[in-house]
Amino acid sequence: MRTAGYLLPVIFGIALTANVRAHQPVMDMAPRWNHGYGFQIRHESYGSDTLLSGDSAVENPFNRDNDVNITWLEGIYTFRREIRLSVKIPYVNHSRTVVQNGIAVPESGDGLGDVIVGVPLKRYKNDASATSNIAFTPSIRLPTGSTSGDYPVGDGSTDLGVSFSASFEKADLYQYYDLFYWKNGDGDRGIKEGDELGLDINVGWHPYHDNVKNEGVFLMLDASLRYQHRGQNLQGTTGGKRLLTGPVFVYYRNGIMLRAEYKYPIYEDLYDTQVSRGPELNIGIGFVF
Amino acid sequence: MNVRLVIYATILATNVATADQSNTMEIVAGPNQAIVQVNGIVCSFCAYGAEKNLAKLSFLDASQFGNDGVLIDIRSHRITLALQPDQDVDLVQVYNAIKKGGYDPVSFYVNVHGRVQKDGNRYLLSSSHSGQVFEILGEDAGRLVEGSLTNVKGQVDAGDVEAFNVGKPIPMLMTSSESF
Repeated sequence: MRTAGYLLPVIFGIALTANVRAHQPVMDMAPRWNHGYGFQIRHESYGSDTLLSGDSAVENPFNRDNDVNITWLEGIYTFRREIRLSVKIPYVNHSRTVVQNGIAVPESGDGLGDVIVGVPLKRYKNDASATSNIAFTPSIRLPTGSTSGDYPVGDGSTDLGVSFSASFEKADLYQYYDLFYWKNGDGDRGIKEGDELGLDINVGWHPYHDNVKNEGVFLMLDASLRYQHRGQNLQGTTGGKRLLTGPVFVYYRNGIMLRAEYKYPIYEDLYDTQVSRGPELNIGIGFVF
Repeated sequence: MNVRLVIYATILATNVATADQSNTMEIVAGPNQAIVQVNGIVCSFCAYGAEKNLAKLSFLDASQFGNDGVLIDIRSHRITLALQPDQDVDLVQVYNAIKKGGYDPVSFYVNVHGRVQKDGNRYLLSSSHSGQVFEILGEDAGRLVEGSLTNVKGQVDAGDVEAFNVGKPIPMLMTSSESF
């Protein structure tokens, strides 16, 4: 993982010098029409049994691991194309193995997680053969998830987020860049997740489209860069840096969109010793009306 | 392998590969059709709202173009509307449907059947079907015969549709005409 570190400035360089575009199509590409609305159901899973000290893998004699499954119900309403309201409701089911008093202990939790409400404010520009937009999105993450149990699904804090994004799209090309920051509040039971800075980049091609059927495919490459300040959960230190990247496949027909995404952590540098986030799989279906 | 070189080459290739097909040939609406050139329409999933809005218009022939009478071509950035026989397109309704869908109409290419009237030096065409009145512009406008039933093909600027006032004719640049 250490050798992949040189990619970080390259990725940042792309973000600063290139055009941009499509992250979550139902939430971003559509609905861009007045009084349009949509929702998507998305399943996110990630996990690992690789133990990292800093950016180096170390022995894991107690088989510490982490397995997270989150099903998101996400809704969006477009008052007019410049003003939207989004709500993201997670259902979390996760488990892990931790070390307590020298023995491995399994922990798990499930339930409604912390709900995120955002207000994307966009400015569009339509050109002869392209469309682009920039967006500012304030968000709030509400402490709706339970903080009870040995592996709670919520942390009990109210978090504030802000995102600046830009997208650029031609008939064959789609680019999206999103720079965001979450200011995480103090949670319950001593939990304090560190603030998080992130950059998401999607660059995609539109290799197939049928005008009559209104059907097509996007193939994209996603890069997700994260830096989270040192924090604390019930099991110890959290936070660090990571870069995940991988392919995204999108199929759409009329107002229905299917999306599958796989991301692999090509670089991680974590505070103290933590379990790697591991590869991430996202599969979703969305509808717009 | 130089990673930066590969990345820059990829970006260059993608921009070269996205050649614009919107400025190629003269656009002429076929019989029972209207064509709209639209800025920004490059993704039909994103344009689903505009398509839905247009599909509600009563003068469309819903049996065409995938059963809604609307064909969005994301490579030429044009929307073709299939019209019912003996119907004219209502440009104001089409303009509003596309604008509310998030896009910017630029030009309309229409085929209007109506009776030619003369108002001073101006030639007006009053649609037999919708009652819309067009002021016919162009070098050949003077060849129109007052009182005749004529089919006129031409181009209407979206700005003139946006500024439309009831009772005021919509300027149309004639490309061809056929009298009956």
